[in-house]
Amino acid sequence: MITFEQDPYQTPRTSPVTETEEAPEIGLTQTGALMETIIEEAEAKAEEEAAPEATEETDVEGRALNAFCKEHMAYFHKGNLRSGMSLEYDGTIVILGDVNPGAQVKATGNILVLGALKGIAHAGCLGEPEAYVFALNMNPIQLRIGELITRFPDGERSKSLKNPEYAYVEDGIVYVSAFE
Amino acid sequence: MGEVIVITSGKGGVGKTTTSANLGCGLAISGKKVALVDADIGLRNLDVVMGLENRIVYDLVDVVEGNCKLKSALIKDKRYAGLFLLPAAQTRDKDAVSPEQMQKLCQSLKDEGFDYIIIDCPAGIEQGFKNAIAGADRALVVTTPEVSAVRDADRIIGLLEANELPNPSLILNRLRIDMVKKGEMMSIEDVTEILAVDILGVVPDDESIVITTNKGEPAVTDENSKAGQAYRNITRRIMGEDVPLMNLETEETFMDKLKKFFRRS
Repeated sequence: MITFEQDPYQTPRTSPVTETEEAPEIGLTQTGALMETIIEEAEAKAEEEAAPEATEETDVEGRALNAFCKEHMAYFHKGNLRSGMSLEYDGTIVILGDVNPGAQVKATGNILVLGALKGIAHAGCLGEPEAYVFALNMNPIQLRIGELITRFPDGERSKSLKNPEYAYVEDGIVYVSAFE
Repeated sequence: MGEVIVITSGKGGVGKTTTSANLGCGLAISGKKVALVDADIGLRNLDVVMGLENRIVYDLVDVVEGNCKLKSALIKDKRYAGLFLLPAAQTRDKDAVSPEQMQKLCQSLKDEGFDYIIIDCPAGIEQGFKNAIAGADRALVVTTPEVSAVRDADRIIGLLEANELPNPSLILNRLRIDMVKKGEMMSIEDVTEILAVDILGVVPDDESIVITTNKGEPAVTDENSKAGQAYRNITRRIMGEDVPLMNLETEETFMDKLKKFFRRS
């Protein structure tokens, strides 16, 4: 396990003890073209998002870069993260390699994977919704940004997908868009 | 009152996880409320076999350490109501949990109203095994008809008896009746003679297990699968029904007869 003892990052989970009796809700990650929603609420919002996507995209990117990225230090990790390994850092993480299923990356800032993201990524883990996740091959088991926990709808992602993509939060929904 | 069943084997790769997933699904199909507990901390697989990997937020270690409530960690199965999975932690190891904590966990699962709590035990006889059997009322030992697996099963049965879990039942997995006939594989009788325990079921070697496991859908749901049929019989026996061992003889196809004819001539 790779952990950073010197960092002030203390909370291991987004919410310490859930007061609700039910299991935490896992939302669905929205993809630009393959927008398939199960939650009704998300469906309505997704329709609204469909039109002004282009402008929103650059906006989110700009905001995230300017207001957020600058104030965070970046940690560079070279090599693959295998199952059972976890990487945590107070700031932004850049991984030069793959994140395999069963591995977990957690950053208070953004996460950039220059390889395949197949494990769990948690950006903005102290509840920062401005954080984003970027990967050359986006195929995570779960994507967590800020307080949101999402997964792709069952059977939607194929292994052959090899376009750079990034995930961001917009109105409480995690979107995944192609990176241009 | 719920019953805690631990599925163990000693040797790895004999089909503990597959058996756990199939029996859990089988019992849930029969309308029981079932909790599958993955005790293999650090090398979890049950969630992958069940196809529930992407729904994990909290795990067994979180429950034990009090980071979350038991109900928040239980993952509802996507196919069957009444089937729940408590996944193991992947980034921790076996020492993260103690036998006393597992006993407490099993008791709280019973209090939740589960009819059956199935614990998938890790391979080996160390801490993980001790944790898995701590809260169990009953043990199922899985073995394959190989000398190494039977030897390990014998050791496990001894350890179970020493830990006040007498009379475990045996599941003989991956039996190939054609090889048994040729005398190349240990038969059911050979295995029961060595181990001297009650046999709960025999599961034939079946390609469909590999297919269904990779898809994340247990074979027990497949009507055409021989292994699925065997697991359905085992679930009925667990629920107290008296089901005879299934006929493992495969009907000879035309091609088989043809081959035999040419071999003879």
